[in-house]
Amino acid sequence: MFAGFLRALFGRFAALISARNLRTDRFGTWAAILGVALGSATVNVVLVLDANTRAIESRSWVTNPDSERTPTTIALQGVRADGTPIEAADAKEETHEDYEVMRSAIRLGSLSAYLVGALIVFFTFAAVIERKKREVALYRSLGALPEQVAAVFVREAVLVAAIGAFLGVLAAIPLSYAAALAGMTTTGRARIHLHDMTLPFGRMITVSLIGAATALLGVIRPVREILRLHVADALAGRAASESDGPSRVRGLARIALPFTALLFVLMRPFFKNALPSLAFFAVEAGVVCALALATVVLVPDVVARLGGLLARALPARSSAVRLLVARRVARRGGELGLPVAGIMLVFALLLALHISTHALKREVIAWAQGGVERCLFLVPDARGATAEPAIAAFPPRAMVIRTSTRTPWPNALHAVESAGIARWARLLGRPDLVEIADRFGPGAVILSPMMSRRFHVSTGDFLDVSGKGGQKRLRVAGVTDDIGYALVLDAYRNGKTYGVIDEADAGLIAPYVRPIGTSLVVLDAESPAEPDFRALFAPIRDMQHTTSKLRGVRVLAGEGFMAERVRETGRDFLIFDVILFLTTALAAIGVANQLAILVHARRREFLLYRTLGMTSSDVRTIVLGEGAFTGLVGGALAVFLGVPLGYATVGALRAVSAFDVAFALPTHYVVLTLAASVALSLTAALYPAHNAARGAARIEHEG
Amino acid sequence: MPAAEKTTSDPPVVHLSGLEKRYAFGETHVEVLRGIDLELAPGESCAIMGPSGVGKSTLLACVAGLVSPDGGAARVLGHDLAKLDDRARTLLRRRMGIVYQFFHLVPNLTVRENVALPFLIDGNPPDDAAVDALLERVGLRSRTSHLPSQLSGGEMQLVAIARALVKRPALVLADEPTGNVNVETGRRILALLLEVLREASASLLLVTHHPEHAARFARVEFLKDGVLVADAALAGPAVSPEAIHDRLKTLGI
Repeated sequence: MFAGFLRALFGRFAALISARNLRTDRFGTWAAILGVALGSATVNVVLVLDANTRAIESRSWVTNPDSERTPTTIALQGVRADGTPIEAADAKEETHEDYEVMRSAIRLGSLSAYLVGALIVFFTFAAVIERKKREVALYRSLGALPEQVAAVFVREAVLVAAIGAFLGVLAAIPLSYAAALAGMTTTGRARIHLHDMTLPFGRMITVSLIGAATALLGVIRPVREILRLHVADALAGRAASESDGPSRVRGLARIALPFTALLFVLMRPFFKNALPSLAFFAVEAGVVCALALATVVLVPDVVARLGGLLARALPARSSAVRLLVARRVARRGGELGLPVAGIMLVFALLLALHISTHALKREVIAWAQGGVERCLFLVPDARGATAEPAIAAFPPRAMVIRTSTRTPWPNALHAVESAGIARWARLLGRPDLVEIADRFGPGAVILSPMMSRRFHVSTGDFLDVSGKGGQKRLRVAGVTDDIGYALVLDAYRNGKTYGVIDEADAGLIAPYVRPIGTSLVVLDAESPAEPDFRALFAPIRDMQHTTSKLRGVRVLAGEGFMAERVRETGRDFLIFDVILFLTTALAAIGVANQLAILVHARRREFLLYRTLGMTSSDVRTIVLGEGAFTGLVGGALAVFLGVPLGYATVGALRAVSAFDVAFALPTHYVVLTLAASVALSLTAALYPAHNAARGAARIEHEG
Repeated sequence: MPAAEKTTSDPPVVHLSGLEKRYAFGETHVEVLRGIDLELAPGESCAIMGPSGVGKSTLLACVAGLVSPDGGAARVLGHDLAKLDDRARTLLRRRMGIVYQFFHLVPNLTVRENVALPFLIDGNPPDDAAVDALLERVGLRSRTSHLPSQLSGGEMQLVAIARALVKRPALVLADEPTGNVNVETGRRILALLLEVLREASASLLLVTHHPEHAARFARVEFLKDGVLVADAALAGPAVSPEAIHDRLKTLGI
């Protein structure tokens, strides 16, 4: 049988029919090719970026957990109030795990494009084969063996897969360079230089071949279905009654949906405590994906039901077009299930992504609003530079606090004058900060929340500091980011992990830092809540222009720093946007293809409308109306699915990262999701609508 | 001119004995064929008449091996269909020609490619001479590169007939080949079909509604209540359409 199939695959019959089929259904063919190509290209781009990110990160001891190089710096040890030492997590490993999660999320995210591409291939072949039932029956009645019929479609799939896979590798090259040029990496903490960039062709070809194999898998089921077809019935135009397959699947999905939701609710705490963070993330993502898939299977029913509601909501004396769209959706809405599911999946992922980045940006803003936002920072950005000369230039309204630079990450400490901390706390007018400032002084340390979490110490515990400058046990005076923070030009996460010690203890860190006064924090004593940065900054600018004393010193206002961090967060997640943009493009192709298939199947119906007096424009409006409905329902379901998905993602972020993120849903995200879904769907419906209008006119003309 | 009569005493190309076929529509079972007995000798042509839905197409589908009968025996081109699996029945169909009422041409293939299709299915290069000769014969030599959508209904049926005959089959099954074209074109198509078959000494089993067309056959069988009713009086060259019409009336068809 297999030998026969292989012979048939290369036989004249399969060659002629498959070539003709591909040429006749150009739109479907290209949709399937693009499905494979864009899906593979997306995964390939992520692969290239990840390979290069890894290569760059492996060169630095900070980003390579396996690096044996360690910088000379202080050692820190947390100690409980009763004197018991506390084991701290390895900061490098912990940070690395955070970035591994992001890396995994990006890789998983790229699979969304792959999935949509595979779905396009699958449904294109399913629709094409369904449409060719009578043709297949004819071949069978003329003596074509099952393997000959199968060979026709497999040959089509092979051609589509091969061209798609080739284009997938080809397209990935410029896309990867463009992504690297835009500063995208898979961790957000490296910079890929174009001249250093390498392309792992072996793995890229493997990915594309897997994409091609997916296309081949996509054809198997439709071919198996078609080979079961009853030849005589199909030739007589008696469509075989719908098998109980789909309804059985839907029946299972009906059980799967509540079951999965229940499993999720019941098992979540267990998973969260019992599994390591990455596994927890994988399980949570898996459960949400299962939920999403179950919903996809249910979509046709949902669409039909919503269509029914829409039809009932329409006024009784509506125009013919409105009536036809409503009735069509109400009675055959299930046929729009696939485009709706595509829109739903893509926009649900986009919404969930933006909910997550929104949560991360809010975390940055909340952190900055605690105190950083109202400060002006002078930071040395070059060897030998110091901000000390600026002190004399500041106007009287400026409250200047001198700090040292920081010891290298991860054991980051800097020294601040204790009087400055006290003035800072009083200026902000917060009793909790004043309390901390009062406890601060020689022998005390203020820890940032992330540093406190890392060493598992809190107010009243101790931190042992040892190094070339000596050894000392420091009492934790408080845990806050709102006083004592001195800006460092480092990754956001690293910059937030630090401790502040008194200038009297600066000797402990002296060999590893530049002295107090090298770096400055400036507050507006006259208007601390709304500082006049221009007034504070003016004399410094003059000084920078007239002298070289501040050469190599960077001046940054807290709010500017915050805005930059927010932008950076956006940039870190830009790669997700790109992946989802490609997925959205694929979804548009999928929707257009599906609508085109439906339009083709309904061309006689459109002819009837024309003979009843409808214009081409009316026919076009019917298809566009269905497109709008597809977008609206898809968008609504995307919100329905995307919000819990976003909630789960934020929960996963909270569980696996050191960031204190919280779920929030901005209203305009919902509005934008709906608007973008409708816009995408309408755009995708343009070509099928044009085809429907043109086709109806042509059929009428031909009589 | 009536179709050819039995030409040899060779074994029949079609031998049906007590053929039965039932269809289930939910709870209801409909017995379409209730014991069909039919023998078709090599070179013989036979028209089958009967009202719509009586099972004429099912009978042809059974002979073609497209439908499995529920009872009785069917021997076609020397093979007992019951003993053949789907693959063997498919290969057997390659020795037949089938013509349908609705033409069933492949829309993406040209006229020439549609006619040559049986060769391709056989895995052989098309016999260009045979294809050209048949296209010439059916008057479509100038339309070889046209697609089916560019042909009239009658022309499409001529292509379908050419396709059915191109491999010189021993048996042709035609299911109302004139049912979807006008009367004049139908006459022309039937005349051509019978002429080519006579020349090829092939057998023809044809289903028709039209007494005038049935009158061109040396043998006419009537399908009524699931069984074939032959009429010796209606066999032979002198049968008139009116006689067939009367017989149909008598039978209540």
